[in-house]
Amino acid sequence: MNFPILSSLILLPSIGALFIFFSKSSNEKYQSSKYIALFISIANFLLSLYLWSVFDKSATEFQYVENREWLSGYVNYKVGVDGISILFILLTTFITPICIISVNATIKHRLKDFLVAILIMETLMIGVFCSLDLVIFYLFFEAGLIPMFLIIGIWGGERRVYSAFKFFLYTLLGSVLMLIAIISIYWITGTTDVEKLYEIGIGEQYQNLLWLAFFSSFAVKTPMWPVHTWLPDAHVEAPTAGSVLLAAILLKMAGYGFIRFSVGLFPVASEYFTPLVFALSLVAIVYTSLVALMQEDMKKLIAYSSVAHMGFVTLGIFTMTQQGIEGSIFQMISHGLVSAALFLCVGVVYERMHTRLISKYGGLVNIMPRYAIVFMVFTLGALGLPGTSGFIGEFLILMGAFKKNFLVATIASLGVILGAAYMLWLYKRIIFGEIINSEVRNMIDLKKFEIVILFLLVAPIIFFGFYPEPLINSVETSVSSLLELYNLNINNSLALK
Amino acid sequence: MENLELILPEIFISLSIMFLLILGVFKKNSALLIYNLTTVTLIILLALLLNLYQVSELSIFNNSYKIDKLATFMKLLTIGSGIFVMLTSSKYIELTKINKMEYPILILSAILGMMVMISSNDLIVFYMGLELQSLALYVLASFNRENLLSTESGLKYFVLSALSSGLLLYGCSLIYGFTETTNFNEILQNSKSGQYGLTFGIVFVLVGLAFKISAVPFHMWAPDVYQGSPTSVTTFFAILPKIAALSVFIRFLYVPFAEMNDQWQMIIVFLSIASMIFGAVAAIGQKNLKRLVAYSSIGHMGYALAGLASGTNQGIQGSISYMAIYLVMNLAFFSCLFMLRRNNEYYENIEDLSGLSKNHPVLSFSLLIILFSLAGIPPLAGFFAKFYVFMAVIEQQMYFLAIIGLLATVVAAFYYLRIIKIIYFDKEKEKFETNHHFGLKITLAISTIFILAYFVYPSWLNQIVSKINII
Amino acid sequence: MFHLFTHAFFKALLFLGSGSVIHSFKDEQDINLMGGVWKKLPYTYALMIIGTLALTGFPFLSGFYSKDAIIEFAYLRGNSVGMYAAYVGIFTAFLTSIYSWRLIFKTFHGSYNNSNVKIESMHESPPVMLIPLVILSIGAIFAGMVFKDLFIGHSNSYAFWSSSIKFLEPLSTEHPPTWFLFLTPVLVVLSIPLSFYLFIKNKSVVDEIVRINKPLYIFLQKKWYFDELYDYIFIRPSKKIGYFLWKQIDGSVIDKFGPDGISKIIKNFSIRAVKFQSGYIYQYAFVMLLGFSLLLTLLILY
Repeated sequence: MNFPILSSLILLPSIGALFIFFSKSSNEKYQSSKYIALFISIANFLLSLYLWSVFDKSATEFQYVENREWLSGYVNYKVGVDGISILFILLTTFITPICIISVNATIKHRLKDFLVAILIMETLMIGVFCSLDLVIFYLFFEAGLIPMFLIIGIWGGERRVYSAFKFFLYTLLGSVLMLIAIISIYWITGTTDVEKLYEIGIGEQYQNLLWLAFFSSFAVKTPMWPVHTWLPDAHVEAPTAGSVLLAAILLKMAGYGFIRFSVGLFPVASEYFTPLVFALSLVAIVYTSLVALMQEDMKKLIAYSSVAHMGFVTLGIFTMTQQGIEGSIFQMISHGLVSAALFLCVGVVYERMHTRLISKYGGLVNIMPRYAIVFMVFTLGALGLPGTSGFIGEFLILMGAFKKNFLVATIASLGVILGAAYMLWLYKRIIFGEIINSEVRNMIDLKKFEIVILFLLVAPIIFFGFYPEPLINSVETSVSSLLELYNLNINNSLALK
Repeated sequence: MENLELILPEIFISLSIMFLLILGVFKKNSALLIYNLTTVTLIILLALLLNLYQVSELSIFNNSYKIDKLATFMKLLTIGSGIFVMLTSSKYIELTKINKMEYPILILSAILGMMVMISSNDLIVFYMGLELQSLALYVLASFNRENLLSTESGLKYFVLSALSSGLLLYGCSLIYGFTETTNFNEILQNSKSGQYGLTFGIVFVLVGLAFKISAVPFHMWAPDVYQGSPTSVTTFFAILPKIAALSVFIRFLYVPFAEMNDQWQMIIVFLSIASMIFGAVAAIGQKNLKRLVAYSSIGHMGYALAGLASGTNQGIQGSISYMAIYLVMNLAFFSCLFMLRRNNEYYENIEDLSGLSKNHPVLSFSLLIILFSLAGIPPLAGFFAKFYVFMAVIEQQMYFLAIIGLLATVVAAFYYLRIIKIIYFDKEKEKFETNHHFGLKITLAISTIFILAYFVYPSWLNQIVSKINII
Repeated sequence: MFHLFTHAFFKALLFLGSGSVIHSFKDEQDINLMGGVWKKLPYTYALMIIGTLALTGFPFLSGFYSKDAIIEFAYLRGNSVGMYAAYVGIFTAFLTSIYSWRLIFKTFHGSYNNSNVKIESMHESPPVMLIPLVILSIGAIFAGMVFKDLFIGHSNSYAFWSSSIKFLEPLSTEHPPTWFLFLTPVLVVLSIPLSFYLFIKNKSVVDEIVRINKPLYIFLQKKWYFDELYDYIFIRPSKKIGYFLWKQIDGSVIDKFGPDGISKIIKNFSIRAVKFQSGYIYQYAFVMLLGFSLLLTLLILY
């Protein structure tokens, strides 16, 4: 066994968190803690970049697999990456330092605890994306609730308690069923090792129920309609960095779970339930777009738009086409960047005006021209303008959908239009128009660190918009081998009938 | 008589009780001395038991007393937690002026009763142990006799316990009547299925046992007694009798009635589901932390019973692991309770925790870990406890029980979260005192680290527990 | 799809360009109140022209490729519907170019018509507004050429998508007659002087037409009441639906029966469970006996 690079990726932030937890900062502002956190997270990012560069994109099997005995006789600690998970790891390690830089302005008290929570969160999220054992996956997946609950509850807005509880209990309720399913899989097949499960498969008679159990967890986390109502509340009340983590990465855990587990482990059931997923996704896309149109609160609007975007993701995954799944992955990465950026943008003005109501703003272009530009890039990214990463994802998903079902794709395209409508309207109301609120005049344009973090997000959004190849290349083999397995299973089951 | 060394721990503890009693009677102001000597006694007991751990299975006294892995492990748990209970509560009994010399002696006799219960392989021996334990507990519950609540709780416990003991005894006599023996192994041989009388007997005995572990609907005493008794006694109540009662449960169900499991399984499932749901729901409305712990322990007993309901070795092991982890969590929680002290007065309302995290970051962090663990959120130890139990339950394809159980955890999570909310999200109040004695601090530290770091190497408990095979 | 893609560029360009102009006019949106400012706003002017050209499908700009492609495909369908669609397409392309040029001429040429804002005070927009315009105009010019192969091309389009899109089989290598291909561009080019003539040089012609068809003009001037119609048919209902879905469905149905409702029920039960605990020993004993008999009954029935 070589250097355990994945375990180091997982552990490094935790070690940093421990260090910060036990270190005593001399000054009130915890500058040193912040630098430690930043240093650790950037080191982690570089490590993951290194992993990406040495990663063999043409191989179909999992790489850098580490397999250790853990719960003897039952579960092994097994981690590994393939082309899909590595992108999400990169996204995580990329977003975390940005969150840490952004705490400058948004977190006023107990900064040290906040940094610890974020770093622990990073550990858990990376763990989710590279675990190759269902129990380990569940462990990381659920453990994320604890720091997130605290982030929303301690540093959140006025209704933070309600939101934090709603978030926690909603998602917990969804995932306990998954735990039952995981244990059932163990007793059915004798293992919870994902690679082995891919090989031996799970009996068809069990698949539907198991699929539903997994679905209940992922659907809440995605979130799909009608279990999406925790998201707007959680987003609105969470501090900026919390919203960013939530939108950019936490929601992606569910999309990742759908690809890795629902499709990978239960192909027959996935095929069986495709209409259900399509229906819910379409409702999510249209419904939440309409709801987003009417929001008065910026964060809520973006939260609802996240639901719509995740609707595209689930739609794309269950088209079971190469384009659809690749599009979904691309869309997730892109949405991770764009929604993170949008929440940061909201955070920027919130920090100056202490309100998120759209009607309080207007005419920012005159006061904050630089802000207007970056915000425009993100708006365009969110509505999927060609040349931004948002376009590629949506486009591929629609391609896949058209292949599968014309009607579904058409309705989904409607969602694209609605998406453009609410995003542009938001932009117009905030950036253009008369300055109604006199307080707006006192606002200052972006500060240096804000420019840095926003530019860090602009760059990949545009870069991948014009040149999506690196991302697509990296997932291609994995997706096609996943689909191969999927089709093989479907054909087998058809042949049996 | 060559097997006398097998009951050396029991002999030792009986002699210690007598010695300490004599010492207490003849020496004035010896409360503290006796207290410390009791702790030492328990530590020696632990060593003696560890010495016995190699014994795989032996029975003595006409097969009425069993020394096997189950017995030794459960006794170790009992005495281990007994030591920690003593460590945590020394300051408390001093400040609440219940540091009488009888107090530690009563604890020792309760422990002796439990040891007899755990090892018993005969209805009469088992009943003897049970009563020895209960008598000590009645007194302990009302030990703070100046306090109205304490005396009331002692009385309540006594009356209700008497009722349950009566039922239990009646059940024993029924079983004896139908099988002509009181020995567990012989009952197995003599019992014929389809005998209503025998089934009735099982139900009677189970009711008595369910009372001891406060399973719904025989839980009514628990909240009042938990709240009324001195906190140190509540700690004791919440942990030790449950370990003993659970091992009797295991032995009683799996040895004599192993072949009638389809009959008792239903009762256990019923008790388990009722406890899980009721414990979770009723705890939400509580304002007093001790009362809340009562309901939470009712819920936890539901999970432990769920493991037993599966009727397999896997299930027994799950329940035992559950108990082991549960007792650590409870110890940790009560240590935190003992730390809520201001001007020599102890606070036990949930509201008193408000904003604790501002002034006491370490204490509230421990509470955070403990509460999330009690709620069963991974990767903390509490999750593994539930995981083991549900592994066993799902193996037997009792999906209904599993789903109800896990849904109840979500409800239960609500009230744990509420405490966390009060600690972390609410406005702070006056500071509590921070000068705690060493025993309390070390208990909290050890148990919190255990809970937090359990996931690093979870197999060790598994390896120990997996050697316990009853069937 | 291709047209949507290119369309995004020049529509965005025009949209933001007019934003820039409007900004210069201190938020004046009526083009009748503008005019003659092209010297004052040279960059905006140039960029707007690029956008307009692209929009109208001027040869070699992006709109040309995509619009042409649509018309071509329609034509190549070969049936009457296709032909009809093709002709309608050409005609609308022609009209589009007339009205777009009208916009340009009215805004930037002719006499200055705004009394509120002095012409001297006009100034170019800050670079902040211009830079995105420039980027978009580059897109508008080249997007068609560059991406033509990619979307409707016959070969080597795979590199970009790297096989994630297995594109439609190249539809047809057959081409419509040459005259047809030239029809649109020619018409479009023709429309420029025509609209210049109509709206700047000789307004009387227009006025004449207007006078004859007064009601129609008003109808048309109100954009066929399209805005109102749009507003009535699409925007207001979708706002209403959105509001309804948010408040009624999300708030009153999903949340009320979902998380909030369940937690309320559980709280209710909890209050009852707390009250259940009365404190009287005889009640406790009664509950115990009740539970005991329940268990017995259960077993007997079973």
